[in-house]
Amino acid sequence: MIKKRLLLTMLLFAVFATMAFSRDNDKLVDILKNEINRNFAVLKEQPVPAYYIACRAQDVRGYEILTSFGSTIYSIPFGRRMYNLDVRVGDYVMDNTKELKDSPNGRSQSSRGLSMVQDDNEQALRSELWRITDETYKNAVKQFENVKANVAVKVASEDKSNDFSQELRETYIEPPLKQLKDIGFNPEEWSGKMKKYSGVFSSNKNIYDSRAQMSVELTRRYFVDTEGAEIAENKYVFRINITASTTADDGMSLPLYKSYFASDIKDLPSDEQIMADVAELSHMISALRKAPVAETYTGPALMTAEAAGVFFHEIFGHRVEGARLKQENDAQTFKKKIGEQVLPTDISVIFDPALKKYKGIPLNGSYIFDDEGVRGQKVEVVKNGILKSFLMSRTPIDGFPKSNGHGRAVIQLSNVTRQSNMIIESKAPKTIKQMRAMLVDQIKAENKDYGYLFDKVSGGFTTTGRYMPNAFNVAPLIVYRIYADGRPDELVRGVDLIGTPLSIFSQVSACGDDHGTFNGMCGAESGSIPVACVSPTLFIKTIETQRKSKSQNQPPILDRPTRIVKNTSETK
Amino acid sequence: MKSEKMQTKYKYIAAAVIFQIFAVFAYAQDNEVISSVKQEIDRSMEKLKIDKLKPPFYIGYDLIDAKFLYVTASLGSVVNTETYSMRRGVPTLLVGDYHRNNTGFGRNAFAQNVSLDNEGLSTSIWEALDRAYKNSAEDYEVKLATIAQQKLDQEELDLDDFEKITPTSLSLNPAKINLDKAYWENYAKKVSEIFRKYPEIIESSVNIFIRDAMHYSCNSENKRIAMPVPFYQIRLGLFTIADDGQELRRELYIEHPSFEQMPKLQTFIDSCEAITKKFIEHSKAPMIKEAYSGPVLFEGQAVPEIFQQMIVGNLLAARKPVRGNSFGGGGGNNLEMMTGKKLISRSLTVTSLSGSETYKGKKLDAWYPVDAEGVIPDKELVMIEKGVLKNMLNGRAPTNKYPHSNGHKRMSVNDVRPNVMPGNVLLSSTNSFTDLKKKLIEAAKEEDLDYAYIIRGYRGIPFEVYRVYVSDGREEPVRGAVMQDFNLKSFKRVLGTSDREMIYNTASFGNFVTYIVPDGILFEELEITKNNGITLKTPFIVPQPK
Repeated sequence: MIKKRLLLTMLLFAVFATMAFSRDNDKLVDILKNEINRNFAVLKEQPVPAYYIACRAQDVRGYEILTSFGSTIYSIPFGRRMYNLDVRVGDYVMDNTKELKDSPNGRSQSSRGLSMVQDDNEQALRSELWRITDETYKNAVKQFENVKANVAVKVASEDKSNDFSQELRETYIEPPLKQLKDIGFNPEEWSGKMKKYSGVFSSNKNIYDSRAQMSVELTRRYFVDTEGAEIAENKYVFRINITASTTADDGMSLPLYKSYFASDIKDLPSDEQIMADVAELSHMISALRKAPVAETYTGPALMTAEAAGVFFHEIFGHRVEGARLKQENDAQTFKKKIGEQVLPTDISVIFDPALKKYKGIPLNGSYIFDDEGVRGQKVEVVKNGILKSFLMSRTPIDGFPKSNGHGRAVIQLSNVTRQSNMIIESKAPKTIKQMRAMLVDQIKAENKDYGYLFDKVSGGFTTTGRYMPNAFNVAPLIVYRIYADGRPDELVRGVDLIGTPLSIFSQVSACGDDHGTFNGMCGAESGSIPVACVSPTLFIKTIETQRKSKSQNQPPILDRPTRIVKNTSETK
Repeated sequence: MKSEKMQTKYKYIAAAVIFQIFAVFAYAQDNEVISSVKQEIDRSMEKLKIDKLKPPFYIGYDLIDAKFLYVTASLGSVVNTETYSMRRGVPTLLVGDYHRNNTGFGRNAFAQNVSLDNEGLSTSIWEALDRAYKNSAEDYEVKLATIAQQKLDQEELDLDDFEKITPTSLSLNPAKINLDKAYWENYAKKVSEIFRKYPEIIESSVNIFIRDAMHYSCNSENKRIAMPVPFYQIRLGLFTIADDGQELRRELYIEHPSFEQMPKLQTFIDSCEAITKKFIEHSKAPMIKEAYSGPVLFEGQAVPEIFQQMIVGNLLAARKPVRGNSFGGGGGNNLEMMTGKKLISRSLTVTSLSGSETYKGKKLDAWYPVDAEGVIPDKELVMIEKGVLKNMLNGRAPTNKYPHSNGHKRMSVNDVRPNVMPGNVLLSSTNSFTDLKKKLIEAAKEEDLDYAYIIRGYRGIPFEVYRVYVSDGREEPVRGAVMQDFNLKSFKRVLGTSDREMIYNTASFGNFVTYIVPDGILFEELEITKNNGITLKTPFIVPQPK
């Protein structure tokens, strides 16, 4: 018993010692905390009292390299410290952030991102915070008066929940952020590699544009508030994006890309792997250029795992973001469907920001604390096809009064409920061979010649409001016709996948036993944030396509100038 | 007198010939950038063609190859430092001929980042020229159709769209630039640190911007230019709030092309201290309450600022564009119709000195040997002579009154595309005085006024204004002034200028513009009123941190 106590004491001491060491080397948390509390002590006594102040800050260091056809476009280090203040007046029930009905301003953006000094110069930091807190408070008071008037003149809200939830506050300080030199990143070496990758496209005369881009971002995110949260969390991101495009004779632009993500530079794929991928990309571009244009279609289709990730993110993920369901003009597709079946009974959908890897693949949407200082929690949104929960920030909705750590934003914008790592799982997966057989059977049952395989998509968008049709558009890059009579698969181009959410989910008929990961950036109200989606291959009984919009420009008149690409990479 | 003028003209021609010989010699040392650009221009001139449409008759390409350093500091700490290299290029591609082409009609090409490696340059240029040709060929056809639908007068129809010249080539070595990050970070930190002792200054920042750049410009007329375009800039920004809630900002810019011209650290700190004290003094000054109409004296920085805004900015020739009905009429610069007529006081003469490297032994920062179109600017070009408009600054786009370039199409570092802009400009006067303040008081007395105004700071509106009492000449700073109906015509009623000259550097589109002006100019009658656009803020709620 004593031994266990001792062990526990030692562990606590170790945790405390780490935190104390970290704080001694990083005074920013204390400076921010002390200044917002000093301001809060006065502002909470005002006729319109402030009831909450939070300060987010981020220190970003990094490097970005862009090359094209084996030549450097830029190769630059970057670094900046920015912060964002949130001042709330009123109370948790109703405050200045409440949505203004029928107003072009909608929900108030009560905060903004500003630069701050890069060291811990207390006078500079406090002076800046003091000035901006005053300005932000006064704007919040003005906005709150607008909110009260708007509430008085408009009909009552359907959603009766509070404007701001009360949450557990935590202290979490990680060791100081590592520097570029400490993480094994050598700009010259990676510049050489990027030149080599984009240089592969030089030998393909069909490629009119090529890019190999690498970005390294070392970020320390800070969060303090007047409720007691004190957080400093580090994130290391390494991204490589390789893109190439051509223009078909009919003017259609045909881009393809390959991207890689890792949170440790050692987890990036090998040079050989990337070179092989780039060669495949180059080959596929030439094939696409000659591929026939597909006509509009409705019928069965397969969607590969990576493409399905984008599909789920756009069509399902955005509709389970809680704060969106509070807006009066949102279509609120799933708000009243808790406990109902929304997906096939074998499918479950989980969001888990704490998950750093899925079966060895790094995930882009990982974090420990969200941008409201709430620990990111695993949320089982759909279990066996039944809708169970929503992603929540500190903006509650009826029936969901607490955050589950999904309040996210770029430093310049206010937090909104956003996605993290989305995992789609099936308890009755089929092999890819079985999936293909199901597709062929369905094609035959519908007396069609062919169905479609969506192999790779670039992204997509969806509208969730009530004024415009509640539709989605996913932009495929590689699409094959799968013939029922056993003819070889035929590469086609020029289609977008379209539809409406409820009808498409009713058509998802089977999941594969594989999984693909889409690591990308998602743009919405609170800016472009990192997300991931892991999904199996899907068989969808009925999909609909429309012809892709295309440029009317002819391909380049002259051949791309020829050049000799030197192999500048240091790597063997 | 006539023979003197002829001699001067021959001197200029001789200088130009020597210059061309030098330029041709220098051009033999073409670097890889020039070769890559020229090679792609030549290939496009030879082969770029779409059936049934005309090929290009002129292709130019401007490229800025630059290294940048930005430092921002506040209260002794660095806020941001950026250092990077960048190349941006923009094509000019004309379809038709010199008389009629797509100039000034339709789409301009945008500047784009291009390869930092010389090997990749040709690919970047190939992309840009392909796009430019397709746009230009289409725009040219539309322009012809538009002109055919309009009843233009013969003078306009006869005017060429693009002047045919034999351009000058020039290749100069890069400048030596101090891009030492540690030096400039320390400089910015030390300067910004002094504001820690001024609690009245609510926000302060020191920004340093350094550019080590070369401008490369080639065209199908065989022009090849390689010219350094160095730039050092220090900016001080101050912000305070007066007791009555008026928000006040003050800026100071120091801009030069060489490190040696930039102020030493202590010198600049001393300047900042002086400016800050004056700024704080002004923040405590009373607000103007009554309207004023009478003599006003401009001094110091305010003189070149109003000269630039009211006079020089109006002397840029601009071709009246051909527009379709949907775009309405207008455009061009109608001031050229005043050519030969009196514009301002007969005591004033405005001379462009863009081709002059020095003035009275002092180096002029805005001097350039050749403009972006390969035209050598005049050493002296009288723009306004004794109040009468004689010339306007122009490039190769002819206008009715100014059909020839006088070498003022200067490259713009910011958007790379060259624009018509001034270089060195001299304002001289035949009616100068040693003590203009005395003359101001006399003029105010003549108008039975108790006081007059001196304006020593001006940027769009006056920011450093003093009331001068006629009884004893004492000066009192005031706030909240705005000028009414202050424009080019105001310069018709000038009572006199100072007999001292000042040289003032400023920047436009990343280029230097230098004004040589009297350090004081007295207007007979101007209107000053309270600026009703000022919003007074409530005071800070929380006390300032100590």
